[in-house]
Amino acid sequence: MAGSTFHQWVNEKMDQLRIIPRLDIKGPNLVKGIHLEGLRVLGEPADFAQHYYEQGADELIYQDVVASLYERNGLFELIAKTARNLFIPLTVGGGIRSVDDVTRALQSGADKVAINTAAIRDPDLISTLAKRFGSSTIIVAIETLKESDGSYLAYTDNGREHTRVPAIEWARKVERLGAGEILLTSIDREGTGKGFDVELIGEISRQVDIPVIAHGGAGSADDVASLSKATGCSGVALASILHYHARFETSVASRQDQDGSRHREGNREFLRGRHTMGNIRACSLPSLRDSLRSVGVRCRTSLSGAS
Amino acid sequence: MSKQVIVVDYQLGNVFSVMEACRYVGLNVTHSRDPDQFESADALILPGVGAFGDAMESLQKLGLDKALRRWSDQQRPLMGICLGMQLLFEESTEFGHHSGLSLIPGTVERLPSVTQAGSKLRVPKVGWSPVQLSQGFASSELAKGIDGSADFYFVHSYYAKPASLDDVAATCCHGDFSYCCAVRRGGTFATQFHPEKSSEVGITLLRNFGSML
Repeated sequence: MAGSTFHQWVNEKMDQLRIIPRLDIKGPNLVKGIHLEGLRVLGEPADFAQHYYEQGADELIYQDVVASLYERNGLFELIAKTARNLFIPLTVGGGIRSVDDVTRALQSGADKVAINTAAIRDPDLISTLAKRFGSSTIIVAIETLKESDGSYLAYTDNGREHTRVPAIEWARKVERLGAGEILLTSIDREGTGKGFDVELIGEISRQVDIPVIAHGGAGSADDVASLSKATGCSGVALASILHYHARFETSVASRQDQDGSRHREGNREFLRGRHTMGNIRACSLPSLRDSLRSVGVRCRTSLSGAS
Repeated sequence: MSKQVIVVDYQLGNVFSVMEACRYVGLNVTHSRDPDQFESADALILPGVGAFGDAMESLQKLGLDKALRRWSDQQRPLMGICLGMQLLFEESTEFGHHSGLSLIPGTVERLPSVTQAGSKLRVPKVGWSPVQLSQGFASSELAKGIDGSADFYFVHSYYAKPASLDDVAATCCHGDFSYCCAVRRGGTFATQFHPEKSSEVGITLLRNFGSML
């Protein structure tokens, strides 16, 4: 009974699920890790971004995964160079700490910023930024995992630093402070393909009215479908599941192979084979949308809009 | 000669995205908050994010409200986007009551947060939504090459309610609630959605706007 009612709600009432490729950036490279660590180089961010744009991504997230650690934000140049002609919303995260940082991000071509570490250090920064740029520009990223006692605490510095802030309370607080959306990462699922933490994501989605974007754990299109049905979250940020497929699609692969001198930095041996990570059944954006639609999850249909 | 477009920069929100999209469709675009510079422009674009009251206050402080009314009285091309559409109306109920530019008769109200059946609807609405073009608008030059129910990108908590159906260019839904998401009256055209963030279909709309100048 409850299942069928919920299914109907998903079909008729819910907004379309936003599918958001997430590009983790280290230096000039697109990288991917597990539990936000053990980063491997996948290639040029620009190639992947362009590919996802052409395949109908609803938005893109660029996350500098070491920015907070080194207190730098070199991502802005990369975005200015690569994202100018991508006319979908672009979120930038990593190392954003001030009004000036947000101004520079927007000038570089970002539409929204995601803040985590700086927001936990100084929660009032959320209201300052929301007032200055509008709530819709400010996403608070919450990185969390299930502790041994079953509670969820927030982490900073891309999952490296533990805080004593309970994640669910923090979600409610950032909404009160004026955050426009929440990007919720399950550190313990991230990169594993073991499925989303639907318990956590459902709880936070119920507790706040602002949109929640779930991130961490997608191993298959089915995981995304069950996430949407079980939690009513507004969007999903996807990395491995898309990247491991895109890597071998012609438009990305040909661009990557043209220039043998690229990507000298980092471990990329594993990319030479066609294997993916253990639990992850990689897929393309169009096939993901088809799978979602076939089980009643609404997502964007008309991509070109041309008649 | 490419047409000159000025994005009205009244210190609220992000002018860069819309400028980038204008450039992409071949318009000669600048941003300005100086009404004296408007004279030489072929069209104005009024963007905006944030709160209605703050935006009106800022427009008034800079003397842009009068300039925009004058512009519209002369039937010159004006495009409003998001909050820039809402500002064209007579008043908004966002955080109290605020008067708008009154270029289009009607009011601005908050999106419902529950459906008629009582299920929760998220406000702000953030994401892509199919847009139904009105018959008149669908056959216009502005809508050339745009599908009758294409998806556009939205971010908003309030919506405009035109007094006259004649001004409605398109509608869309928030849950089971249908509302106006684009208006056209005289030289003024405005959208609640963001054409500059709506991929190829949004670019088509901007290109059409540019080619009509």
